[in-house]
Amino acid sequence: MKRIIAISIFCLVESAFSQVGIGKLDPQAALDINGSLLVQEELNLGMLPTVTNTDEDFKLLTRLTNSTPLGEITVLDVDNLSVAPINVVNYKFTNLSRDNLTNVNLQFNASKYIVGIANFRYEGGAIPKTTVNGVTSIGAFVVRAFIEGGKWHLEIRNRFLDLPSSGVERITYSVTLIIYDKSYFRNLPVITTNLGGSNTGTASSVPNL
Amino acid sequence: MTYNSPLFFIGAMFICSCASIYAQVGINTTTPREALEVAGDMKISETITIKNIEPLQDSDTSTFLIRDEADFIKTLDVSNPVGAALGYIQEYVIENPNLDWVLDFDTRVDASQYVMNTISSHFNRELKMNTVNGVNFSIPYTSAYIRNGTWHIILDYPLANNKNEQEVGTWTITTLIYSKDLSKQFGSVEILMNNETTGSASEPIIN
Repeated sequence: MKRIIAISIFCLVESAFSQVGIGKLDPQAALDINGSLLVQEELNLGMLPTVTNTDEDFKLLTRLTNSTPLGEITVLDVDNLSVAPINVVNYKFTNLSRDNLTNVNLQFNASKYIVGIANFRYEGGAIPKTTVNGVTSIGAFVVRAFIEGGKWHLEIRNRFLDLPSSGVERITYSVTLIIYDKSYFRNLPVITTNLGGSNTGTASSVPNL
Repeated sequence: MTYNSPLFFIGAMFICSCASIYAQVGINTTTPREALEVAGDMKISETITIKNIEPLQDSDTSTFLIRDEADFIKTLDVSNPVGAALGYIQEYVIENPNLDWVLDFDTRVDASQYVMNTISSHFNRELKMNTVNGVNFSIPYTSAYIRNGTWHIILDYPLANNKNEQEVGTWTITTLIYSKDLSKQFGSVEILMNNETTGSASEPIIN
């Protein structure tokens, strides 16, 4: 009989603090689950502290779309992945034909990635201007990543002028490619605007953000 | 209230032992698949701590999680064409500017909600210098800036323009657009170089 009273007191104490354990006799929170939780519909979190300036080593949370049951919460640890949401890789191009890097297939799949260019560096000899009929051309120097045959390609060159084939220092190009995973970043449709010869104008449409 | 029935005690013990054997509880479901399965919504007034979260693997497909203003956890599903993404790549093609000059192109992207950076740009026409005898050289610049609450773009080869002024030129600009919810703007830093070629910022902006 004493044991029964003891159990009932334990139950009362538990309800006073309103702590419930699932698979656990000493719950450490209002609800303490010794195992996994599956919520079939919406999850509402009343209090979610924010990451502060002094927090380091925090990880982003992801939700799986290929787990069983659907929607397992996982942590994005870039060390565990061969591809992160943002991937940074440095490229260096040497032994070029004059200044012309006309089309290099980077092999990145355009359906999975978006390639941005940063930190372009030109080292080496200068491309001379050319004067024809009194007009001195500086050509047009182009640095661009573009999609061809479903893969990302790179063009870096002066499209109209050339580095002399001899007598000048060879050129080296260095770029940092930022490769965005399309699972997290979106490539929006191109917006084309005709300014009709003016130097001022407004975009023909606003991106759907 | 008294607890003098041995049957009650045995019954209570039986329930407890069942719970500890299966250790699974269902709410609105009789077939819980996890320690606790809630067949419906769940609201937690305070915080949640998850001790064991598996890392995302290469073979997984996933979306990010965010919390909205009404405290609901939502997914950031980029594959949904009208859903939000971490960032956007927007290419602008500007045809027929004033030769090579685009002084003020209004993208109409709301600067109070988004940050815009130009990440690459190029002009498709051959250029000449506008100087006497074509002296000097010019390099192009591309910059996004805020005016009247929207993002604008300026593009130019200073002192140069289309070699053949009859040719209509086209600029192609790639921009990266982030939500301000995911990025922080630190404003501008001015560093006086005192006529020296090397220098140092007074403090790191991000430490």
